[in-house]
Amino acid sequence: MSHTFSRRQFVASAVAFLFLPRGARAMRSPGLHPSPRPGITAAKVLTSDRLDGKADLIDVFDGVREIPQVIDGIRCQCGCATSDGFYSLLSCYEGDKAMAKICHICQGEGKLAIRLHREGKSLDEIRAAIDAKFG
Amino acid sequence: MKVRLLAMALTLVTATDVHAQIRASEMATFTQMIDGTKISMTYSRPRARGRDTLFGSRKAVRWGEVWTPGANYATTFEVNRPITLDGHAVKAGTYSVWMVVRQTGTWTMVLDPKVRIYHMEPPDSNATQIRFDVKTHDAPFLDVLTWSMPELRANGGMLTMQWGRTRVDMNLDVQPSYALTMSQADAEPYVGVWEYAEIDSGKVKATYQFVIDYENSTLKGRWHTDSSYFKHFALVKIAPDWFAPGVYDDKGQVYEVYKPELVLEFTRENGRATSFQARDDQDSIVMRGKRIK
Repeated sequence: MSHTFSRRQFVASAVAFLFLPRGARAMRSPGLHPSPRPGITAAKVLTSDRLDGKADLIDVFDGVREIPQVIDGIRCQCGCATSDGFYSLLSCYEGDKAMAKICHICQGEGKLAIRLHREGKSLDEIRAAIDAKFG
Repeated sequence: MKVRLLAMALTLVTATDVHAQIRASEMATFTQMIDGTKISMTYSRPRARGRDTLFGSRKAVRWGEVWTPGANYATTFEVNRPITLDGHAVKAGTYSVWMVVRQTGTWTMVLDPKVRIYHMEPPDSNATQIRFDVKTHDAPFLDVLTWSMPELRANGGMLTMQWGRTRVDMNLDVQPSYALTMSQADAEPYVGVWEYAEIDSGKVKATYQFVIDYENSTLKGRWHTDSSYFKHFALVKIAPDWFAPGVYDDKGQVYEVYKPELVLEFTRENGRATSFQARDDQDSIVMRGKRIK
């Protein structure tokens, strides 16, 4: 048996049940994190009835809605940060074209930020974690 | 002189003309990402057009000429981070590319920070340039001048220019984004035998052993001790107590770091790591582990 194993074999064996998205990795765009806008709210963050029936997204959108002042201080690493109208990771969760409805990176960053905030981490610590994992 | 001015005028016109047009040397852009470093070359691609001899020929490139490996405006080489090219430091930026072509011995590669230079006006040698010798190799005939990176590694690759039967290879190294090595003191808190459980939708599927050791100044992991199939993989530190698996190729070089797909987050007690969670790109826990030895 060959001792060289492929990515597929590695991941399949380590976490056999994972189906890991790959495509977004090449699109990552590191950069400076934005400053949270004073008075920012989650008014534009999509509510559960606007998630196209994707029940698995409700928790992350609801979690983001609870901490807009944190999420607005994070730069998304998926490549959307250079899009028109984009300001922060919060932008990924806003409006009918919210990127987080389809992008695993936007979703993963949101989930990580929510968890770390609940663990009491500061915005700088959350930014560092986002950069470490997704940057 | 008239011919030269006419040629320059024609090129100026075509360079600003966005309408469809057949050109003898069509524009091309070549871009390669390596570990976050973006390497781009923009150049016009001359064709041999029946010329069997391209170098040392009055019809193409003369010996001793300072030639841009391209056509029309000088080929440009752009990097967004510092690199080394054949061991020579190249700062982030854009450079025009030139080669001093010689009939015998080595050629000279020249990167000049001044760009947008017409090929008939090569820059004089100056202190701002990066200059080094390169070897030419015989190669199968290639009609269209081509820049490429036919060999890639995790931390670099081979940058190649080929035209006609001549090829020039340059070794390009990027700055790695990770340090694979760490001190024994930094590694020691993680070394040991662990038991971990795979978790699917919050439920434990099965438990296995996971071994972490320290070898060649690198922290390494192995999922199943009883399986020869699983070789060591590097545990690449991405944050305090956070590690991503770095997978080795058959030459012992890490060719990919699995993040954000799989990140091991360790918890310490009295300075020693005693448990870990492995989380996927959705921040879901996919493994939980605890030290058993």
